[in-house]
Amino acid sequence: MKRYNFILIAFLLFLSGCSDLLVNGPDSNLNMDDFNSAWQIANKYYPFFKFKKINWDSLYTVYKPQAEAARGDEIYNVLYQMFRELKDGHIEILTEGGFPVMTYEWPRDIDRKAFSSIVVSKYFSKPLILAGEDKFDYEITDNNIGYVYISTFSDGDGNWYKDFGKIMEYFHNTKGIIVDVRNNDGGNSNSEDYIISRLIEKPIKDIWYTYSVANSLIINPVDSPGYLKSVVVLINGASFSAAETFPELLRQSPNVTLIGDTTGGGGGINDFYTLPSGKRLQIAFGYNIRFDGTMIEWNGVLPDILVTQTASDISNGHDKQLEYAINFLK
Amino acid sequence: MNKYLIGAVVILLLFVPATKAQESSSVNEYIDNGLTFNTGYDIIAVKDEFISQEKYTGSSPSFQLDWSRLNDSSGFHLSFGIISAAKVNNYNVSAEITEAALNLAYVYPIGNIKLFNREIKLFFGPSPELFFHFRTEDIAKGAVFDAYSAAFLFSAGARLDMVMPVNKDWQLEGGIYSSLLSLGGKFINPQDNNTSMMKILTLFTGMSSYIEAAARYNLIKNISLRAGYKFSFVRISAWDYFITVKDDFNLSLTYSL
Repeated sequence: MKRYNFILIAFLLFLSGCSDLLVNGPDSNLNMDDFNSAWQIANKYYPFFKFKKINWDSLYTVYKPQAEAARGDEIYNVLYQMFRELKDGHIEILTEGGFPVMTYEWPRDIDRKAFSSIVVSKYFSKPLILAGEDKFDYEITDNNIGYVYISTFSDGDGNWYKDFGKIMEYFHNTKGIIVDVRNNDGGNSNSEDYIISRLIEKPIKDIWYTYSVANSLIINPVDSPGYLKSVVVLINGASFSAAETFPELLRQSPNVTLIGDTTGGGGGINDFYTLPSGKRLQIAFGYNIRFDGTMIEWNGVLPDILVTQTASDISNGHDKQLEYAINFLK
Repeated sequence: MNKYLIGAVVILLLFVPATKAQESSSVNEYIDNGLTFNTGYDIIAVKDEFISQEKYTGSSPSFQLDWSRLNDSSGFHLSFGIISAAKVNNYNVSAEITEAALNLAYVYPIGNIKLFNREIKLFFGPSPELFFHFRTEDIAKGAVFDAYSAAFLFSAGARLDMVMPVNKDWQLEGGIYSSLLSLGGKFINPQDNNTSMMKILTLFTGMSSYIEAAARYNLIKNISLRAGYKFSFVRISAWDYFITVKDDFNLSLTYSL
């Protein structure tokens, strides 16, 4: 029985120190390594310092003492504040497991409240059909106009956007098509180019800059001569990144009209960079421009026909931008 | 603080006056059949490498409601506990943590052992548990969205209850629980499509466990008061390493039906 007594006492005493034994902090403090690495990555790759008139060296001087004083996860605040100075909706600091902490909310994102898929659905006599991992909603209006909402250009399973071919077949006999990229946060060019190739009637050119070098690509229509009827692209201030280059590229096609409001102004082409502790930084290494030579960053893409819309329009059940597009294509 | 409390429990176990232990192993003589409200003061320590490798610590009140229903040869406990700690800190960075656990246990008398020259009645049985952890993180003050993390375990486990009757008013109690096999889930990088957010977890990849010790005093005929200490932890390593540990100093009131 003495053995039981000993085991019990030893176990209870062991428990009293268990919290510290089981949960402990990191072996080393990599805060300054993270700070220096993040600053250097931006210094090497970020293309907008001159355009934004930002003195990155002076920001190092400002934030270095804060980084030196940061203990534990306080470094997140220092990195967040430093990169927030760049006013770039693309820049994210990812936690060690990958949660993306956005550093800036672009001002025109206020338009996010001026769109509702529920209000859009009221313009159709049938429920909208979902496709492409639910990233597409589409249907034909009573006026025989095709409508497709694209919620994102992100990767997903890598094949979701190929459903767009079926949607175009469904729209085969329509008078025209509305492609809605409002409240679309963007993604990458694979899905963007695939969808564009099914909406244009002639080849168009895509130009972008990486590491200050111009790149170009020709996007060809899938079927020659391609889609010949009118296409309206709906945009607003919450159309961001790839949802801005998408309408800007389509603008080259004579059958395309952009309707709505100026897009968000996110022109960076971005990549992820790993910091010494395992945190990551998403930041631009290249950029897109408009065909008039203006930076998309901060300026956005302008509509051909400006139709403003507010959150109160939506709360009153009206989608003025969609109504305009339907009347435009009638 | 927890070291002193455990020391006190050990001393209590060593020096309580000898009284004749009850001979029967009938369940309802030892485990209260009724409703128990439990409130505690918890010291919580959390490390979730989805956020960082840093340790976060804090304290908060906790609450638990238990329902025990027994018959002569078996019994069960149903308990629901929750803790919501608003300030769990790593230096000047804070997290808000909510944890909840729903636990069901079926116990059967399995015999007696002697400890400190006293009879201890043992009850053992299967015990499923649902554990949930949610954390919001203020790692970037003023950020557009707070970072967050979440984890859950739905476990099949086993529970051992130990009861040492001291006299007609006092009773010492202990319990050990461990999950054995779990269905676990954890919030992961939304841009990582290669890993499932849910997996079957063994003891090595996902474990929920606790050990508790308490002294119960019968206040009046149907009401007893219980003071205790519970050490619990949940550890998940199938994704970004996660561990939450709680030292719980608790007081409960049982109304026997």
